[in-house]
Amino acid sequence: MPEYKLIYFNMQGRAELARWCFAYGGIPYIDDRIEGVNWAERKKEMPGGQVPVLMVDGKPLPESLAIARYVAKQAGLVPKDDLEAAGCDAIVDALSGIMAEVYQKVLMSKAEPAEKQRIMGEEIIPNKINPFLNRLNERLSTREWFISDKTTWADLMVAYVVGSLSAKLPGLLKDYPSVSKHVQKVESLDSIKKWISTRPLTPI
Amino acid sequence: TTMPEYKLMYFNLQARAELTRLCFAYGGIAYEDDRIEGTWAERKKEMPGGQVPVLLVDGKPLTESLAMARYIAKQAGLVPKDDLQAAHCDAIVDTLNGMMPDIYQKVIFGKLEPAEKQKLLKEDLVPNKFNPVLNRLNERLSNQDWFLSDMVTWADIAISFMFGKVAEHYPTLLNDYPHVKKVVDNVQALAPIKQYISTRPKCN
Repeated sequence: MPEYKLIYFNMQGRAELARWCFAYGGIPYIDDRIEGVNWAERKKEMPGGQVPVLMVDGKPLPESLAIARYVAKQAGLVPKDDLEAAGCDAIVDALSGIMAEVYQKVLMSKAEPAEKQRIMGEEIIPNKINPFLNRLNERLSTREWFISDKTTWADLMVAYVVGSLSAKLPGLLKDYPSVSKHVQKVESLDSIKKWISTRPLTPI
Repeated sequence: TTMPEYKLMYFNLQARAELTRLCFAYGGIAYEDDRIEGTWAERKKEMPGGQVPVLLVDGKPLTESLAMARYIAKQAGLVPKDDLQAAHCDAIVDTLNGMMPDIYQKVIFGKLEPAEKQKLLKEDLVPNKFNPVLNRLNERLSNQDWFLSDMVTWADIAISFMFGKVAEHYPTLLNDYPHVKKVVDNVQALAPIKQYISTRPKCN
């Protein structure tokens, strides 16, 4: 097995999906969390000056979703069938877009709290999040996992992003009971449950 | 095995569908190139999430531009079998895809006057967004023919499309990056790509 080092900030953000995949696969790795004061120095090591970066036997792989998809494959979380794999990619891409918008406009924005609440409640939730939750909820009404008949990284991504949002916004999933059940199911998987209970505590 | 029936639905635009179209062309794979004009309000209702592109595979929708591009790239033999090599292709495609808003929203469809657009390119987009990527790519490509050395992949197609597109609006873009220019040109010279480019509808 290659030696893995995942380099990111001390937060969940764009590295957490890869961390969940490592945990699910029982794959050891160094979880290198850069503290703010050290970022200016460390930035110079990173291709494109950005994180996350996954070092694989000392060679850097950038881009959070490329990293997560690679780790997911090692962990047996990517279907062999091309179309099923594409279905996973589509769910992950859509959620990544939603997460990016929430981080940019709300979680890490300098706007006033009242404005952040407005953006969330009047724009992001009704226009982006709810329509997507609707489709997810419908899909789960006839199946156990989102794609194929087993857990994939798409299931993990739903649990991570939707789980995080719902923890911050109680009531988010009240109209989407199948999604809520699914998030709990994934969070209860032994490997995921263990990771969630032992990972460094960070607000996001 | 029989090939699925493919229908790609998007606007009469290159943007987020062109990588998929180029991969179809490379693979000699038949598909219906459904370009939506004028009837968007109606057609929007058919699309999951109200967005395009959507790829119908035997009538079932696959969303998200990169998920469908990766899927068609696989059918066309443009995705390496090795997981890490595939991940490096994913990473550069993600990086290039990140340039799309700059190219389309700010330059092609931006509301600035042409002279102001050139200024934006020259003083901001080119030095801050495009050159850093070009620099790294140029170095990587200095000793090899393609992004992955000895095989054409969808990474090369993406490099050719994205930088080719910017160069249409900023002709000196690749002057300092001859190895990237080599890939841009060599992809366009591949017989099926050349044929596709010469016959595709003229659009942005």
